Amino acid sequence: MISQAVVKKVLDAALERGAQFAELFVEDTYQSELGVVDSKPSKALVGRLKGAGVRVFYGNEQVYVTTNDLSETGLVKAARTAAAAKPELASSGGVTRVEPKAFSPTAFDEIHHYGTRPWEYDRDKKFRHLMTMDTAARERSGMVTQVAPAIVEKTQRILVANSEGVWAEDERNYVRAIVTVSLEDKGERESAGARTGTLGTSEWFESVDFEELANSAVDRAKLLIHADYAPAGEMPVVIDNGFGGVIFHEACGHGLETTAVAKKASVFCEKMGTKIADECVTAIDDGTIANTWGSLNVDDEGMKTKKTVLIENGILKSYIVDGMGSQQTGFERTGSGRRQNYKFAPASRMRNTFIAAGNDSLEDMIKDIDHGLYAKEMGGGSVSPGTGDYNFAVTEAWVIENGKLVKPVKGATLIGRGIETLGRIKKVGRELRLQDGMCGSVSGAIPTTVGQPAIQVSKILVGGRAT
Amino acid sequence: MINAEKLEMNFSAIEALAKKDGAEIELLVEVGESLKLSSNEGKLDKFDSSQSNVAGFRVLLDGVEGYCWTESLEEADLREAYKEALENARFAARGRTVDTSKTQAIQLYSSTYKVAEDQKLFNDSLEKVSIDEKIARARRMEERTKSVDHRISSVPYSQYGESASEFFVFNSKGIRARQRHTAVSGYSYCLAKQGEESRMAGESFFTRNSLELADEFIDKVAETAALRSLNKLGAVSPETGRYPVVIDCRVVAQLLGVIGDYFSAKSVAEKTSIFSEDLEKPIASLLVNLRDDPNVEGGVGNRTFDAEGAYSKRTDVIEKGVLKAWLTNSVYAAKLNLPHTASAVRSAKSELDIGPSNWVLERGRSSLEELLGRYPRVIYITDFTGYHSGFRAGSGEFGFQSEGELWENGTRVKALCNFVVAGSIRELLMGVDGVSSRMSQKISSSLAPDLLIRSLSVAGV
Repeated sequence: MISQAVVKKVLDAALERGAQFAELFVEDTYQSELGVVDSKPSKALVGRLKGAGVRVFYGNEQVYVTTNDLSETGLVKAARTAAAAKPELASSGGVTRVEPKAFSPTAFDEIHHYGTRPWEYDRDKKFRHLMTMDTAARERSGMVTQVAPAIVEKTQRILVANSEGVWAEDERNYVRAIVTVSLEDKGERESAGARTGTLGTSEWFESVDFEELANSAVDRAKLLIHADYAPAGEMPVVIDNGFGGVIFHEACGHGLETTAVAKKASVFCEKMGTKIADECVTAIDDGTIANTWGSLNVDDEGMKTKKTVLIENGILKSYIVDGMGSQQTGFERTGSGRRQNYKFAPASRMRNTFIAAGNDSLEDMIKDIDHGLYAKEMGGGSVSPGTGDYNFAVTEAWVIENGKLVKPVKGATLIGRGIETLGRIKKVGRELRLQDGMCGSVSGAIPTTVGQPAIQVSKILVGGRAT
Repeated sequence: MINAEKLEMNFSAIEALAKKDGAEIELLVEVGESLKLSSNEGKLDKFDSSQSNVAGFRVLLDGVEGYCWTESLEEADLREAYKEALENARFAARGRTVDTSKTQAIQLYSSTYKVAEDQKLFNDSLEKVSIDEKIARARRMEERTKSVDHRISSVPYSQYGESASEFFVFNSKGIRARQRHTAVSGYSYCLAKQGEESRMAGESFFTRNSLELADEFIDKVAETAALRSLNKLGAVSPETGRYPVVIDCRVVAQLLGVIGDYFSAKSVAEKTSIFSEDLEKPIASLLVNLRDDPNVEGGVGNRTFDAEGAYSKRTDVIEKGVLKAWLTNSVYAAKLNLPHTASAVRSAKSELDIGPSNWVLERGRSSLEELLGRYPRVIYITDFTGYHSGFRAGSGEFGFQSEGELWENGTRVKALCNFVVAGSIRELLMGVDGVSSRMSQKISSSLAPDLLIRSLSVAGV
């Protein structure tokens, strides 16, 4: 993308005022979104993101400067801006200048298979995929008033080079299909969505059952359109596998990122090596699973990514650590420095994060409960890492009475405090399932996988409707 | 910042190319610089300086749209982006029978009225304040927040930011519009700790003039953030039940941002607005008046023209509870035969949409204290969290994680946390029983007073 000679000049310029570390991140990204509304193409949007970010460290202080100008002049100018951003140091004089080390390419096995790039794949086929979703949804139910299917593709090419000799180039491809349906019946409205995505290229669409994807969205909306509201109050909750893992992502994962830990803005500070969950809980953040939505070859700091055991049999074993986080906390980097694009400095972020499979069955978990909630499908959520307070929506829930599912309910929100909820996971199921998602945080919106087998939590506050 | 003449020449060259292709074009260009600074434990935690250019084409071919954007403003790259947008328009034409009637074929906006730049939206103050002073402001924000009380254990999220940007709209019907903006903003979110308990709260600010930003102003923001988090200490869950609820003006302003899409003609046409059948019908209590106002004194969302280059004007959306208008751009005004409200929004990287300039929910006559004392027991909501997950746009129902206070007979009894307030947007709007005379601060493009809602579901212990 950029020659080593030019990168060397950029790093030299970034280090000229006494920074201890300098890094250049260059990106060239193609992204495409195609959509249908009212059974007609509604969206055809293609874009090219091209730019660079220069980052320097002065001790534990970080400066980040971005530019669209990828010429040598533009990059050196950005580097000088970064170098000059520490005026008190620059004016004091007498700083020791760090010499950049010779570049040594980061070695990694290319475990992800890529084929047809988005601009190479026949657009007629994409249109047919979109229309398959539209037609299937409309045929599934006469209540359907709108169908909005979309196909989103992205090819990101990156280069990371730094003054410690790191030189890493990589390509990441993402493909995703999303459908949202709106239903109306007897004055009631409901909507639901379904999606699937992978780290891969456009030929992956051939393996997607678009009809099934659309049908699953319609079926969920149909189930809920005349359903009662969820009960309100604290109760035991069984959370099913797959996107149910968003509870771990929100309740605990963000609090384990050194972005929060280093600022003492996490309830998991000072907990390393201590018991923070029941023995049945082992949690992993793994960037190395082939062609999986949250995987990487190298992270956005040029480090080969890893599989990181976060919690083992209830004991906290590792945080999620990026370069600056490592410097600030002393914990080893985990290959988790990530960013949405060159406009963001990297931060410690999750990759494919999940609770490992256990020994219990979903049926037994439900049988245990006299009065509670079964959260079959989860929506999004959020957390305040400083307090650990999280919330997330249940998009398909069922009331459990005397060990049996008695009726579907809508409008359930689950809230709680991460560290307390973690301690209340009493059973973990056998069937692990992963699901793609997007995670928004300090370094932008990035693809992350959440996952888990079914789990039973002894008590969560369910925000349904009070009577 | 940018050579506007060269940009217009590049546009003209591509306009000529488009003419040969039988296409019409609209080009949006955004050029900007921004600086974000934050301090943690007295150290410079963030110094992010960014510069960006984006150009986004919207191409119309036989009344069908295609889009492409690029981050290069060089003529060759703009030509490439135009060609891609043209291809996208060809793609989008698939499956359509071309109907050139007014209601089907999309047309570019045209007007003989020349829009002028709003001189109040920009100034040269950012260049007149030194980097040292800006870093000092970021540090002051953290230091002053922490110094309010020994129970403020940390300020994990604080920021001082500045940006200068320039926005152009060109189209092949002769529209040429340009606006510059400057913005100075910041926030402080701090943790208050007492024993094992920790609570977080914050405050933000927005202004356009860096020179006028006094230290006292930053101190006030810091103090407000700290006091808000301290007020939350000792909070407990309320009992589950239905309560009269007063929603703080900051939270109401955030809610307006969440539900605003319901008043877009695009949502009506796509059947995703819960109010799509309700024009000229009551959808809220008589106390509710909502307008989109592009000329609020000091408004964050002020604009003289929209993203199509059309002159912006005030639109009354709800009057005394009755839905009076949808917001439209030129496309949906034609499609649904509605008045054109000049509410087009588009970034260079997105497709044409509809959105407000500033939502303004009109103030009432009661004080906040009067609203809190109206019923024997009232829950005062100071924070809703999780808007994206707790709001179901398709049905208009919500269940938000909440924090607040319990008030009895007009007196604050205790802080509340760990509860969910649930209901529907219809229920909330129809249930408005009081509107305060104070308005939220101008930190976003939504402005609102406090609202008293007769009854909402509260899920606690």
